Amino acid sequence: MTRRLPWVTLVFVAAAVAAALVPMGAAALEYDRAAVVAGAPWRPFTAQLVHWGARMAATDLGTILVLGTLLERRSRRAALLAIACGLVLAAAGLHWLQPPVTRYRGSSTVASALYVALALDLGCGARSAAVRGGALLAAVGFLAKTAFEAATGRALFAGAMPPGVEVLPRAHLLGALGGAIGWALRGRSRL
Amino acid sequence: MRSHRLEWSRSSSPASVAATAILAVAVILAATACGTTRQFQARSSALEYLYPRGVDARPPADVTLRLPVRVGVAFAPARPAYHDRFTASQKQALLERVAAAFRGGQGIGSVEVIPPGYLTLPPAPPPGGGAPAGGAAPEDDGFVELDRVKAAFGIDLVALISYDQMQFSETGRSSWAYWTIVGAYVVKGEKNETRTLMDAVVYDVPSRALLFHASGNSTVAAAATPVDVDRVLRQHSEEGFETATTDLITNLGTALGQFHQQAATGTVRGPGTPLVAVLGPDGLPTQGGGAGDGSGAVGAVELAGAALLLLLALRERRVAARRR
Repeated sequence: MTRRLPWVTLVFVAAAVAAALVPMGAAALEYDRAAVVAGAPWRPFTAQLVHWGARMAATDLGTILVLGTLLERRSRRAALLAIACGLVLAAAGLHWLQPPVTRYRGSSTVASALYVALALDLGCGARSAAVRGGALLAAVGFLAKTAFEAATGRALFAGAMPPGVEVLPRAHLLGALGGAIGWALRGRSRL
Repeated sequence: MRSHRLEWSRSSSPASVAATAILAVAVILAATACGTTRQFQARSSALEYLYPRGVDARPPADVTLRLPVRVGVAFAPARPAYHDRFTASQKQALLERVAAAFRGGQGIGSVEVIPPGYLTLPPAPPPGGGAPAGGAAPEDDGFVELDRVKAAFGIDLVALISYDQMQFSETGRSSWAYWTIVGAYVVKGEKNETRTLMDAVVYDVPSRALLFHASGNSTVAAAATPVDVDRVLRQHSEEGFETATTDLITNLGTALGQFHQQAATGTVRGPGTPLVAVLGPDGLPTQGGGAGDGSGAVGAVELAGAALLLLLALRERRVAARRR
């Protein structure tokens, strides 16, 4: 692990903060099925930068900052690929998977991707056996929890949401799968 | 009748022949009138207005309702018809009744009455079908006009009311007796029946999606002397529309409640129909207003897992530093 600046993570978090600060930014970037159908194909991706509230934004982005920094210091390439794959898979799932989603906001897809990628990186690359075991356990536990949530459609221990908004477990699962794929694609580069 | 026949056989003077002929004609006319049904129909159709023949129907889009919604109530325009007893002032009064019934309802901001005459039917299709006369473009459906009404009245939804009133004026057996034997003003009368059906379809104008519909009907039947038929039919027409409107208002209330429940599941009328999102005044989804509104949020489990990974990463860093 090096002390280099985790710029990939910082760029993502900075973009999310900027979207939150611009008036009507969240409304313009959120996933809105009607708008996507009408010709705004970027929304499934930009929806993962915006949030329903300040507390939700702080939790999501704080987690991304911690996990992204840790992963990026181990492998920037893994962090970049995990974020990219998580974004793409979650965006596709938002638009095409059933039951349909009318609107969506939230960065936990990216947090899930970074979580799984970091857990796999530690689980497969750590020198300490205890760290490897703990990380793999964390990865398996997280995947099992998100798979259970996606199967039942009910989020476990989710925080309070605005009225009418529900946590979408499949977004977490797809983000996690994206993280695993991104980590697997990282190759041997230690970039 | 028997005495008449006896007289005919005995008399052959010109006067009696004429009287016999007149009586015979009267009998024939009366026999023809027996069981005859006169019909008057007044109708307007929202379907005909929104999707005229020869114009391709555009599929509806997903619906976003921002509460409180503003609703316009209008009668679907009718083609001019002979004996249409449904006057513009009657229509206006009934629209006011419907609007008043829903003002102040849950999620309803305002209900505007769109006066009769603001909506017009496209040109009638030429005989044999095909595109409407006058070269109507494919986008010349009723929604184009509704878009203008939406802008003018500031409405989100429109409730279009169609009506179909049939009036039957049936000549019965008593009329037979009347024309042949008795006299013009002594009969029991004609059997008159007025059947009225009203149907309201509520559309989200921007998405062209049908949200819900309801109907009301009434049947008014009574006897009347032939000279009173027109007056009675007019009276029954008014009564029919009034009663059907009362029924319609009741059923609309039920349909609105069912729509609230349906919208909470995220679609307009179940799987395969447009999605619906119900937003509050702040732009956020309302409670139960469309289960399709989702969020990706880090929860307690993810935070605990992230903390575990942080500890593991720090331990790994210490192990690596020691080995160096």
